Amino acid sequence: MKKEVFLSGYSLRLPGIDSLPDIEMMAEGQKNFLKKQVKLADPNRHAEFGELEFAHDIAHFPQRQDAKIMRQDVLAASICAGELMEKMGFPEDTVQDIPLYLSSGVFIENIFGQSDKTTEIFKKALTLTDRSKMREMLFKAVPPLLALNTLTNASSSYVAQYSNIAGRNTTLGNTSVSGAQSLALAFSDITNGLSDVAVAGASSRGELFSFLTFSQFTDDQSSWRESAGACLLALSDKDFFEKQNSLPICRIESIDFSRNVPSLMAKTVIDDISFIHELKDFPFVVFSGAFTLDSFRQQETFFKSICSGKTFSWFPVLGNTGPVNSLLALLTCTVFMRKYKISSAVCVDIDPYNRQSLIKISLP
Amino acid sequence: MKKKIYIIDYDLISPLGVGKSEVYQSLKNNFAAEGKITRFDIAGIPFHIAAEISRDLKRLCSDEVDAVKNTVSYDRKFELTVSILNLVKERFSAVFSLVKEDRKGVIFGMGADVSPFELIEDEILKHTDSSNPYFKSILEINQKSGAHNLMFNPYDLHAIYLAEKLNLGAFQKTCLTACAASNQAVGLAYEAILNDEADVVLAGGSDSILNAMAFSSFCKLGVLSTITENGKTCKPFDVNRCGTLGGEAAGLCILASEDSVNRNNLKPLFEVLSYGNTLDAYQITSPDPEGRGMIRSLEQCLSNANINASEIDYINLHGTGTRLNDQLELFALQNVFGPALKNIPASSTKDRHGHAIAAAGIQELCILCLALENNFVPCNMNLEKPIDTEKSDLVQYNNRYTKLKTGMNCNYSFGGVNTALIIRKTN
Repeated sequence: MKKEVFLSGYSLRLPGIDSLPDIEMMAEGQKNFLKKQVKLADPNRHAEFGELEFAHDIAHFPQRQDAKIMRQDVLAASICAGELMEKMGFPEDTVQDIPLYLSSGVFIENIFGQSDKTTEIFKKALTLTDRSKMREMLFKAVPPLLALNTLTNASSSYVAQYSNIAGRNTTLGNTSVSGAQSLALAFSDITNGLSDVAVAGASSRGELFSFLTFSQFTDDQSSWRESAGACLLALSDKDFFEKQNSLPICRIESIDFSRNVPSLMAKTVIDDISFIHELKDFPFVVFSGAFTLDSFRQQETFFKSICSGKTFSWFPVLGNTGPVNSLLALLTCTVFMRKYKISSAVCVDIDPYNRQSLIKISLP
Repeated sequence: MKKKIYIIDYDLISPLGVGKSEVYQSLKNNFAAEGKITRFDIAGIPFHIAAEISRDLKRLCSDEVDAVKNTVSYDRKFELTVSILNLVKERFSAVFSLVKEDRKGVIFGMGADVSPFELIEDEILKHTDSSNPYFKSILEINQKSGAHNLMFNPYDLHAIYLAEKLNLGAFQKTCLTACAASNQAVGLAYEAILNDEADVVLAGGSDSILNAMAFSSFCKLGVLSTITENGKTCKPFDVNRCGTLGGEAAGLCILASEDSVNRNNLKPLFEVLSYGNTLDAYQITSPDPEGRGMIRSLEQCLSNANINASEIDYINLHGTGTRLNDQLELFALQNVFGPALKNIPASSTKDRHGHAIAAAGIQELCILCLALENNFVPCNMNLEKPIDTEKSDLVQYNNRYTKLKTGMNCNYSFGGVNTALIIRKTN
């Protein structure tokens, strides 16, 4: 018999959002946290990014020698790890066996500052017409810890280090569907009885690298919006939270994925969504996946037309948060289910390859 | 009762050869692929030795559409993925065509993307001036053809490409756990079938650090060997080891459920007995000095396989040739296998083909498959003074030919991901 799965704890860091009350306040205020504007080649095109900022003296800030090689998303995930451990109070002898499934946007933003410098070095070196000197300059320009700074599983490594969680694990990447895939792995470990608790999470640094990568997928030239963020969720079975003498935040009913074959040449078509029939009767739907204002508007029109209940998206406030999308959506559902006194909700995400995930939740 | 899961087919492109037959010949003949780097201009970079795939792979990419060909010309990792797919396409398509689209998936291990500056510098210089910064030039250089970029491809590109070619609809997952990524991809494929997410899964990985930027960053991290004596750059488990050998590879294997094997009359080569997987939770820069994560992953793997340690006939070790990894790996094995380890031949083949980072796992799993199929144990070619002779059997000097049935493949990564797989030859 499959076990029921509950959301027992969370920690998150997004621009302007550190908690469930922040979610409610931000969602209703619709204050835009996309503060970093970037000039692009086309003067009519805009890209806006939400960034994370941390004071060095906040709780759970990592050790200095670790912090100096952390990307912004990795730093956020590490802080979340400390906070989640404090909230959950996992029994010490069980922590090393807790599974940890993360997804990562792994956008190597830190290389950019270096790359601009490297480009300058190339330009200077070429005027010397000495390839050897140019290579030498390039070699010198490579930061000593670049390999660790750009390590794709850096978030997982630091979350483990700062929480001592050391069980079954992976890091999946790198579009938004990977957030739901990580959640599904944790969900599966609990339903199959492999563990009574599992941590799923995501971290993403959506900025120029992401823009340069994914803007090629679309002809849509409207405003591009992304935010960095990190989120960790503790999933458990019923016995676990009863033993902890705590109450779950919500029940996770199911996590499903569209099972279509994606294409590298096709553009995303919004009304191609596999889950249309499932969405009609849900009283609350949170949708995500758009990178641009126009595609968000298309999604909004589409979901409003097929859903009988309320719909919500974080796009106007944060833009796309990559793999964090689905986890943030899940927490958002819990806030609004309580506020509107509704018993069930659903999160839908559509990634740039038109891969869709559907997470159904209910209040216990 | 636990489901049975099988490996139906496998293949690889390695510095030791293109395809498993060539790789086996190279292993038998003790061919070491290390040599002076030719893939990029090494002037000004202090290390010059790596294990390259020297064969031209263009033939394997020649039937692709222009967008793929263009991307391949810039992105070595994608070239390796496209090449391995085309190498096995006929055989693998025959298997996948028997399975419904929504019951077959792909899990692929990938390493961090670093732009090959030596290929793009001319382009960047063409597009870049003081008023046109680096990122803007990338936008101009990229080609606007669907999801193919010339620079900065999303990691998912590989899994999506493979899914599209073989109609794999159940899922497309990209595993990003560095040196453990492709061994983990096979482990996750095994678990996905156990959990009934799919009936048949394509698993593997591709990676190359042989470009100026990535190679420079590994040099600076201090993990590449500085020994330059001819042909013995990397010396796993040797007292005088001083680092690994940069490499590149790609590999794929098909895993299938017993039901699917029976239903489709497939011929399984190996049964996957178990997968062990833990984290160190120690430091990103170094493994746990007590090897606790490694020990737990090995224990988990043996226990899940429900076999005795003495039933393992050969272990393909991670054996990077770095001081810390090899010491701890051996310590962990001794801890878990006890006296049985002395009777289990073990070797690292990285001295022959280098460290392919995210593709290390699939390359070495394929070599384990070749070893089991051919009752062949490759020796540690560069092992002169073993760090242990008392408690383990680190195969030295000559390859061995002995009856093999069950084997283990271990891979560990930066950031402390520990993985182990046990497979057994079918009759």
